[in-house]
Amino acid sequence: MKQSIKFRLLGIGLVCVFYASCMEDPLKADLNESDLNLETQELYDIEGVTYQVPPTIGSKTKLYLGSDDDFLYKAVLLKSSFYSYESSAWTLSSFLDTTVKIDSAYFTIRVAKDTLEIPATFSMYYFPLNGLDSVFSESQSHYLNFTDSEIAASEFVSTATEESIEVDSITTNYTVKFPAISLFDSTFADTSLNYSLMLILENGNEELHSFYSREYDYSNSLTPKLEVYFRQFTYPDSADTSADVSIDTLSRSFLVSQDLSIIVPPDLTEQDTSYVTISRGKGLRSLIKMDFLDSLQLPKQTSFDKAELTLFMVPDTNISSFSIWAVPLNDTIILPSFEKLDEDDFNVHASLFSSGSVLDSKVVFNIKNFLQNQYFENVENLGIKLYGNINNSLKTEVHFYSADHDSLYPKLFIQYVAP
Amino acid sequence: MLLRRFIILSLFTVLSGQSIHNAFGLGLISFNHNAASAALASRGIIPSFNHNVSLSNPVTWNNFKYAYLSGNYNGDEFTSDLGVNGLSGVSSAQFTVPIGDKYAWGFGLKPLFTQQYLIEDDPVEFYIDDDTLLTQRSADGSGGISSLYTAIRFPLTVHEGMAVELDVLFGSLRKDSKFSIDQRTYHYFQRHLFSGSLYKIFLSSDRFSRKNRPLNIYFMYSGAINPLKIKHYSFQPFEDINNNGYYDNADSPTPSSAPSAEVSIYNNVLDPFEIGFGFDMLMKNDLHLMIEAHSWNDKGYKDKTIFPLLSYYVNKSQQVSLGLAQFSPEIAFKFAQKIQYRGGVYYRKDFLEEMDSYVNEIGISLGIGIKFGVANNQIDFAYRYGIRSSDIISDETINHFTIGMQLGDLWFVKRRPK
Repeated sequence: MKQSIKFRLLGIGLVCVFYASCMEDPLKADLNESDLNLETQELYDIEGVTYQVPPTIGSKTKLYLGSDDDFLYKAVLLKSSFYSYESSAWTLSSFLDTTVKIDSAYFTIRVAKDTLEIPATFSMYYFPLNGLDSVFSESQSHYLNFTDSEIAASEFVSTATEESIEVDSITTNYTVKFPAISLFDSTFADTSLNYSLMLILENGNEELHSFYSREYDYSNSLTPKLEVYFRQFTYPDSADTSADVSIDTLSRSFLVSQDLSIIVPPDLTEQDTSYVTISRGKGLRSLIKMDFLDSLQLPKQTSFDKAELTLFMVPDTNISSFSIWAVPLNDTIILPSFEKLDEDDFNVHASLFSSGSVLDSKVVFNIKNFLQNQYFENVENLGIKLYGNINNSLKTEVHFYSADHDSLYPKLFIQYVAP
Repeated sequence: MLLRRFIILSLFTVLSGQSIHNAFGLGLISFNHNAASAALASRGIIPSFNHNVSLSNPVTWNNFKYAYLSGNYNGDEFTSDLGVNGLSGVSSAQFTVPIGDKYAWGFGLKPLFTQQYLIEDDPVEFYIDDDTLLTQRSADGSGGISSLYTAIRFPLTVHEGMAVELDVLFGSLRKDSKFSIDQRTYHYFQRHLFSGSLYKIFLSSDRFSRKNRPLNIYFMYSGAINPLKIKHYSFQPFEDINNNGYYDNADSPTPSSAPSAEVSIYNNVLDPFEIGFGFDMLMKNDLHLMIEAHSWNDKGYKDKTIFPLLSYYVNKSQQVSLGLAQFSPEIAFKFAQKIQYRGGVYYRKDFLEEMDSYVNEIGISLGIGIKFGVANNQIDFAYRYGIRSSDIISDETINHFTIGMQLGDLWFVKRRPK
């Protein structure tokens, strides 16, 4: 027993000696030529070309009708939900049931303005001759595929004038309330139809009228909607409808699930086509080509620390804020000069997008992810598409110098570490 | 029970710390693998364990009376202007068995190179146009090369013996090179897998004597059968965005986007050549005077792409030592008779790769061994103090402590039936 205690004490002593004497102080040495090195390069010969596609502005928080400078908003398209907001058991086709008697129905859209000077009058139409989902698409419809012939195919529902509703002594709401009971006499509520509505300005387009879209407020309080007030009857004996029992008056609302303004852009200027131009309202986008990347000699196992693509703005453009998205292309596109295209269906690597804001007369994109993946050969170097952020003003366009400028040409700065 | 587990865990844990040489090249080669040799400042040729027996010299293993299972653990403390660092771990585990009086066989495991280091460079400013980046490099690595060896001893003549040892080298090194750019940190992981084999030839002679006192002579020579080969894995450097030290999906580039590690083979990295002599002369009262001389030279080629820290690598090491030992008699009854006393002084000269420079080391060593049990089990302690000096590195003092345990038993002996 005594010997066991001695050995234990000896063990504790030895371990303490070892642990007490072992510390971890880093040694100092010159590691300047060891393992990882930092390098930088500034690269040029970046080509840019602009193209125009019909502007699609489906995700805006406002809907517009009328004129704004040279931009024309010719129609607002809306699609009602088939299911009611309060209960999914109630659908538009529920009102075709003979036990339901509609007292009144309105389509309501809130006007985005603070004062109401001269109330404007609008007309509402629907599309009884079109099948399900065939009238418009929020993300794809524009003035070239929704033309006057599509407008002419619609059927008139009602007209309505802007009105003010005093909520309290301070707050006044402005709204347009279209009578819509006739929709339920028609085939609008049928399950095989499209539930699409169209608003147009009744008298002239000189003024711009704006409305809150479904994207403005996700609490749905300002979302355009179809409201139905009705009574439902129940029959104790289903075979005898003469002795009916009335229940309380009910209401159901159907929020719009898609809404879109059809915008017609003005004619393009020479600057729009000769520079690298981005404009949401004009549908102007640009392609940036950096062909030198394919032959760029970089060390093995390079990791990019920075990759900044800088474009310098043409100084006569007066911009307060403008945000641009840059996303690498997944399709081969050949655009030798400015072109008008019917649609922008170029595939992109959405996960590699970056955004930049115009600041100090230039925009800088962090394209590190793209360059890293291009270096790894995960993606091809097919160019970068530049297009305006959805929150930019529709009327604003920015022009950037291309490779032919003597000093303010686009530049790519890369900073990388490599073994 | 808890204490026992704690001690066992400690025995198999190599703590962080280093001499400056541990970080360079393959690290600092270890020549002392047991407490008895360390106490005599020997590299293992001369008999240090007992009369005419060295645990590290297989040509002496026929003089064992029993089969021995031995284990040794050592700890080093390096003190310099750079700080105090330690390195400790198992230094050898060995089984030896004598076969009659003339033959012996054994095998074991020992670390040859141990690398456990953390190095920092001073911050450096990096200028880019109008921007100034503050960069700093650091590197840490752990691992090493171990040897699994076996040896056989046989007689050449009545007075001369010979032993041949085969060492299979194996091991790995994990290295993390960090590079900070302002607040961002990049990691570059590398892994080395080592493989190779060495041979050693030992000779002994007890033919000579001086004034009727035996003078035993020992000689060893070693070289490479297959010089050390490194399979080098180079992983994609990444920015450790979440600063957790691991490569995960939060980092850039993401692991899923990065290609797999680049693998390269480097041959002839370690191609050592070693020669050694030892003399053991019996003086009065069982006192042995021993002299040993060694020269070790690495002719291997170390590519700078995987050994950027090469300048302080020791590629040539020479040592002479003088030791005195008083061994206990074979049959001892009193405790005082069971104690073996050892002491030595040494001078070592390490030549550095590419620097045309060398490091001198001079030191003393002391130790005791205590026999216990009927099979002459033995526990050995050794302490060595050395001073390492050079024109190009900070002076270092070395405190080296080794403990060894040898347990004996009878093998290959026909026992009488009860």
